[in-house]
Amino acid sequence: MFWIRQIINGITQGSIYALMAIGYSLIFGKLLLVTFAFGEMVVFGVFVSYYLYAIAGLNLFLAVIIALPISWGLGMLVDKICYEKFRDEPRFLMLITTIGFGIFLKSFTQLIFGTGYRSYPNFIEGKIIVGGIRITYIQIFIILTTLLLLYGLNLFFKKTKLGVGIIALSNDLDAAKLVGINVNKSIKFGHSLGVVLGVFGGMMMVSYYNAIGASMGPILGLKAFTVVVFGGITSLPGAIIGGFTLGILENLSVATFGSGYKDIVAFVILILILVLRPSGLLGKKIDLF
Amino acid sequence: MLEVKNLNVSYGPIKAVKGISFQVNKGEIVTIIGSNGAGKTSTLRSISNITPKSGGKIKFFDEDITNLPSHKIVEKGICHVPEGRKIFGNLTVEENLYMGAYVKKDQNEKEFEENKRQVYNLFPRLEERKKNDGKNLSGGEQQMLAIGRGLMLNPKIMMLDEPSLGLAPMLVEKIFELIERINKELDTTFLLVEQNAKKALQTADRGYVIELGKITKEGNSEELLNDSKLVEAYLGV
Repeated sequence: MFWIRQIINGITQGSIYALMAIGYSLIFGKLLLVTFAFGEMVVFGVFVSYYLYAIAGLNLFLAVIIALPISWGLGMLVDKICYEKFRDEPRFLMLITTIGFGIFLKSFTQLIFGTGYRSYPNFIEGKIIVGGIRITYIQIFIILTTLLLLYGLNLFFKKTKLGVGIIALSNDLDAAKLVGINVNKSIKFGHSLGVVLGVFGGMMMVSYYNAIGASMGPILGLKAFTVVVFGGITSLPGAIIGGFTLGILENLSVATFGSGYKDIVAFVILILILVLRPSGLLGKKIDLF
Repeated sequence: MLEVKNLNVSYGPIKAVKGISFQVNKGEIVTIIGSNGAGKTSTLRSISNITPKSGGKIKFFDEDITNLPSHKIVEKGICHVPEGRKIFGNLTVEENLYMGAYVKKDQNEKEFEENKRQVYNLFPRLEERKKNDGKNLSGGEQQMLAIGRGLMLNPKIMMLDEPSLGLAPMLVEKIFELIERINKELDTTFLLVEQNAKKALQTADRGYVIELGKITKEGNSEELLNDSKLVEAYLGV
């Protein structure tokens, strides 16, 4: 029973990681936009929803729904500042611009929202007990929402011109231009979509653990990075598998060794993957620089 | 319909195309022949605006398209099948064709299916492989897919960059036959850039010879095929 509960916790956690990792993989793996501001963007977006809820007094769902388009706008802004001028330049330039913007955004978030941790409410309270196993509503909410979003994203990348076009441009930028894809617009769209997925994942995470702090950015970014490296940077299905694997492993290790060791798991995985199989589970080799 | 005037392309200090001018009339197959590095690919890439021009003017049906972004040029009905095919390797054959119709925003499902039917009739092999990823196709199949993807646009003009490159002789025959067939059946104008000068001239109505970024000869295909100097230089006799 104890282990089943841990696995359910892991699946919940994994859903969140999967969502954030898809956002990250879309930006980093598909659009080849090197980003080191992902975690910071996520935290900023989540804080906007917190602010709308706790300070402006909006209903939590309304706060979330308003914060998502704002996060979309943040994605557009970051593309404008960090990427647009450097599309044809060597990629390490993006490394510098996003590290710089990440530092700015983290400080900016701290300045507006403070440095301490705040408590973020559960989206839904309550629990059910199935066969002696306690499952909270928020766990069900997180898992179902994630599955729904994964389904929607799959449709988007398989059936819509815009979505297939993003895969196409990640395949061959010149060829994408030659079939008439407005690559600048598509990259902007894809980047913002990635940011919003990350922010939404972040909202579910802080809602699940009831805590948010401005300094969470880097660790969230690194976790998403680890998941994506594990699954294979260029592979969206890899990001999903990586997310669930990391979520479950983390929870099992917490159950075994105690919660102090939670973050170790991710980085042990990161090191092992980088040594043993650098292209990840489902990824292929790409030349980033 | 397509008029290129005094086109210049430079890569840093190196001038690849030095003020060339030519035109393609509606319904024609025109070829630009020349050896490797003569500036053929740069010419096509700069017409499509994926390589910047350093000078010159491009007109399409008397409209100035010199500075339009690539996707707008495609919307005008100018299809460029690039060198090395550049199909989308991670997309299936069907998805590649879907991308070919990217700019056809007001196209309904039925028109799209009809277009696809047309491509499959021209290239039955593509239909057999429609669920396969582009990267798993053979060179010849990839070339067919690249042309098929271009046809999904219902282009007014198709610019083909070395369609015969790297193909077995039998396939080369077939590709040129198909170009003639598409030209007749679909009334598509062609601008064909080739190293395989003989095959290209046998297919085309007119030709231009490009050497070191300059056009050195032009004329009807028969004239060029009978030009003894040209025969020596390019036709390998």
